[in-house]
Amino acid sequence: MEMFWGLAVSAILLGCTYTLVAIGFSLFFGVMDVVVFCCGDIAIFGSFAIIGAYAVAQSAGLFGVFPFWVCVILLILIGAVFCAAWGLITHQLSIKPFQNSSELMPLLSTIAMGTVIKEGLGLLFKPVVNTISAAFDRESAVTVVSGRNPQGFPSLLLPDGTVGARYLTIIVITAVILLLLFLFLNKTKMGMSMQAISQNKELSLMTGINVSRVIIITFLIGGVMLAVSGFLVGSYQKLMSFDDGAMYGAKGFSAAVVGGLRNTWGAVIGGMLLAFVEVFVSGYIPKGTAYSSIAAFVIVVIFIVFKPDGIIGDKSVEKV
Amino acid sequence: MNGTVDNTLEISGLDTSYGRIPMLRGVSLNVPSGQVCCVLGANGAGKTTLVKAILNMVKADRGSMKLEGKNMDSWPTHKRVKSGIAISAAAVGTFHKMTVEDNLKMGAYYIDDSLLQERLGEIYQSFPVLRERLRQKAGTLSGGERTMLAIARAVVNKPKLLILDEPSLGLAPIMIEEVFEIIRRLRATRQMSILLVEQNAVKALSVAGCGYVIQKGAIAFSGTADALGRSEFVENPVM
Repeated sequence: MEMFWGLAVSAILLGCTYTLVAIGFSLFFGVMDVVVFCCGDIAIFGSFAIIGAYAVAQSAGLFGVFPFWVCVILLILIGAVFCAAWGLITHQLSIKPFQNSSELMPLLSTIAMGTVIKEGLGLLFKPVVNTISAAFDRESAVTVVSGRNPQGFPSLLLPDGTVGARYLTIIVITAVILLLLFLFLNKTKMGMSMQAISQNKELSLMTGINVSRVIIITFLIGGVMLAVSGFLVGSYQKLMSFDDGAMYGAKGFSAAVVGGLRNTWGAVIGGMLLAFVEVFVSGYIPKGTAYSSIAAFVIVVIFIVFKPDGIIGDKSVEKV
Repeated sequence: MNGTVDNTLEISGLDTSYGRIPMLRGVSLNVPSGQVCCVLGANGAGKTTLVKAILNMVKADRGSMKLEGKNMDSWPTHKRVKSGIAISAAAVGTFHKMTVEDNLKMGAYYIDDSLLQERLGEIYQSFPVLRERLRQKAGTLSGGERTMLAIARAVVNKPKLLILDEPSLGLAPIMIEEVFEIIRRLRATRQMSILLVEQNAVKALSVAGCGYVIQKGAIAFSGTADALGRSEFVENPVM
């Protein structure tokens, strides 16, 4: 039974990271009717922005000047700014120019954008052993340098606390972010406009919503969501590789599809479902770790075949 | 209102195209203030294109448009709505996952909250059906109720120009009767000018003061509703 609860906690943690990426997918899909395939890469871009900012802050000695928690919040904000900016760049460069062309164009161009982010990070973050170990988690100072060029993610969540407390923080942060997003979407004019555009774009124009402005703001907010996700992924995995985005993107997208694209709660449920399947397969099936991702994607295939609208889905035909 | 301005909407020489195919050709049209003008035409004649061009959802290639004498050619869609053009298009539908109340609030995008409450109160009086359905999702309404909602949503703004795009589309005769009763009531207040785009010529002419016929993207007739009623266009059902 103890194993069960242990696995459940890991699943929830993993689910938190998937959920936020999935929400990025849903938000973008909602306003643009386009699957932005570089969501995972933007999230990982956020974690690397934090890694980079941390290294800079440390070499400048900022951690002595400000209290630790202030630095942590600043680092997350830096990640959020970078991701929001990159969300906007993605929209301007790889979605907006293709608005009137075939639906496949933005699909390809966002994949290309993902590759740009990935390879850019690979070039920027060379395997530097020394700064990594400095930035590293205190209790597990591992320095690995391999072909995939992993970077240590600074331990920012309760570095002196227990592992349990740290995990709890990840869950609390996700919950708070989800609550804020929910309030934003349902209680503010901007949030309602996003929902309106997602439900009926033509009518939104006719109602006088400044659609292009709302779309830009959606990309900024989606970028912030992805940055938080990148922060949580980093804090959870501790070791980041520049090409992690592909896997997180695939999982986040799958979670969004399973939950029902366009639906924020669907993204949460989908993310959790995927994470639970993955963690429990690797926990209970002998040598299951190797198959955990496969199991998760099998779930996606099952959903696409039997319930293509997702768990809480619209009855509309999705164009993927 | 400014006494010298007697047309709420003035369109002159409007051309539009879909890609390289010309759609509207030299359309000129006026909606005098406080009046109901109808635009009749068959499917594909360009009625909806005209409506969208008025809101700049379809770009005009040539021609100019004025709202109460002010040139609005450079205004984007949201600015035109904000300046007083509201449209209710039956074919475009509702925000189906929002409640009726939220749909109405989206219509009143530029109105502050206290004024909104007042306006909503007025709306519930004119559209009692909607008051009973406030908390219901718009997607669950019947066709007639949805048309009512679409009109109510456009009227919340108290626009200078109300455009009704085929309000009778897909409705049972009894509902069509009710919709035109509402148009008559709106006309009686004379607070807004109405551009009524319809296929149902008899119904449209029963409320309109002036009329236009649009054929293959060009204006084929313009004049008073009476003259239009006696013309070949209405007597010949094929138009």
